[in-house]
Amino acid sequence: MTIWPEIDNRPSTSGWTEAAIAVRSIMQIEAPLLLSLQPEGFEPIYVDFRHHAFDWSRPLADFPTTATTVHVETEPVPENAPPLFELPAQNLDNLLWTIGLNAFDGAPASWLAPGDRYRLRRWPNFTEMDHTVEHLQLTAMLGQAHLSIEELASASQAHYVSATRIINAFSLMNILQIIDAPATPPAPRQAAAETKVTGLFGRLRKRLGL
Amino acid sequence: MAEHVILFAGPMGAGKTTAIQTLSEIPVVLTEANNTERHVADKATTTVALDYGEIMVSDEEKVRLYGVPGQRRFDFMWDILKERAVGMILLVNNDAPNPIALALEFLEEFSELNSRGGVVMGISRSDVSGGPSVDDYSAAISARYPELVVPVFTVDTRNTSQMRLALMTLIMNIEARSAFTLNGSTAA
Repeated sequence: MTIWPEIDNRPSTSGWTEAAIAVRSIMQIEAPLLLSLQPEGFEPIYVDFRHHAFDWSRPLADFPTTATTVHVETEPVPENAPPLFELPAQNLDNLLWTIGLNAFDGAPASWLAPGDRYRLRRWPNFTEMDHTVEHLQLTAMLGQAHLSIEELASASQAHYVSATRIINAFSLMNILQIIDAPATPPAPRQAAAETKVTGLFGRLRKRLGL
Repeated sequence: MAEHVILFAGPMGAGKTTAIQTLSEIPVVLTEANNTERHVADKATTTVALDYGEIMVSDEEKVRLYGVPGQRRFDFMWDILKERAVGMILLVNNDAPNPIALALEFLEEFSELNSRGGVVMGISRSDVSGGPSVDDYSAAISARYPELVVPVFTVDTRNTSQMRLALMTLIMNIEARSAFTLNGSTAA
C-alpha cells in the first residue's frame, strides 16, 4: 500500500473507543473515504467504505483488543477510483463487529442516547464472525421487539455489559432500528430463563458442548 | 420420547442432504434417485422423497432432521412435513438462477413456520459465484415480511460448526419469538 504517506503526526486515538467514533462519523456522512486504522505495534488495517470491505495483512483473530493507541487516517477518494485493495477482500461488518465489541469499555457508545430502544434490522452473518452462544441469544431477543439495553440484558439473563457491547457493535454496523422509548415497552415472559434452563436451546447447547 | 422436527428445504443442489449428513448422529437415511431435471441442477441424483437424520438430546428427547424434496412436483410432501415441524433451515445455492426469488418462494410456501420465527436461511455456494450478498437476501425478505427478522447466513453445508450455528439460531429464534408472542407484545 503506498497511498498512505509516512508521517509521524497522524492523530492518535485512545484504544478502540475513539477509533469507533471515527469510523461511525465517516459512515454517517456517507462520503467516499478511505480509512487506515493502525494499532500500535501492528500493521495498518485499510478500509474502503465504497465497497464495504477491509484488508489487513493478518487474520482478524489477531485483532489487538486491548490496544491503547490506534492511529486513524482518512483520505478522500473519487467515487470511481479503483478499489484500495483487491476485492472482494473481507466484509467490513466483521471488522465493525470486532471494534464495536471492544470499544467503550463496556459502556454505551457515545452516539447512543439514554431511553433509546433497539431492534435488529437484519441478522449479522455469524458464520463469518467470532461469536459466542450468548451473542446468539442476545441477537435473537433483539429480533423480536424494541428493547432498551437494560431490557435486553434482563430478557436474555445476560450481564448489562454484554448487552451493551452487542448494542455498540450492531449500532456501529448500522443494523439496528433505533426508536425513542415507546409508551409501553415489551416485557418478555422470562424468556431467557426458560430458554437457558428448560428450553430445547439450553438442552441442545449442553448436549453439543457449546 | 419428546421429538422436535426440523426441516431442510430449498431448491435442488442447495445442499440439503449434505447438511443433514453433517448434523446427524446416526447414519443418514438417504432417498436419492436419478435426477430427471439436469437442466435445473447438474447433479446425478437428487432427493425425491426425504432424507432423515437425528440428534439425540437425551435418552428421552431427540431432534429429527428431514430433508424436504426440492422439486415442486413433490410439494405434497411439503404439506405433510410442515405440519409436524417446529422450524426449517432454508438452503439456497447462490449460483442458482434468481436465488432471491427462489428463497421468497420457499418462504411463502412455509409462511406458517416463518411467522413463528421458525426459519433460518443458509446461502450455500456463496464462494463460487458472484451472486447476491447476504444483505441483498435480508433486504428482499424484510421488504416482503417487514415484521420478521429472518437470520441469513452464508454456509458451507459440510461445516459442522456452521450447520450447528444455523440449527441453534433457529431454535433460539423460535423460543425468543414464543416468549414475546405469549406475552402479547411482539414487534413493538
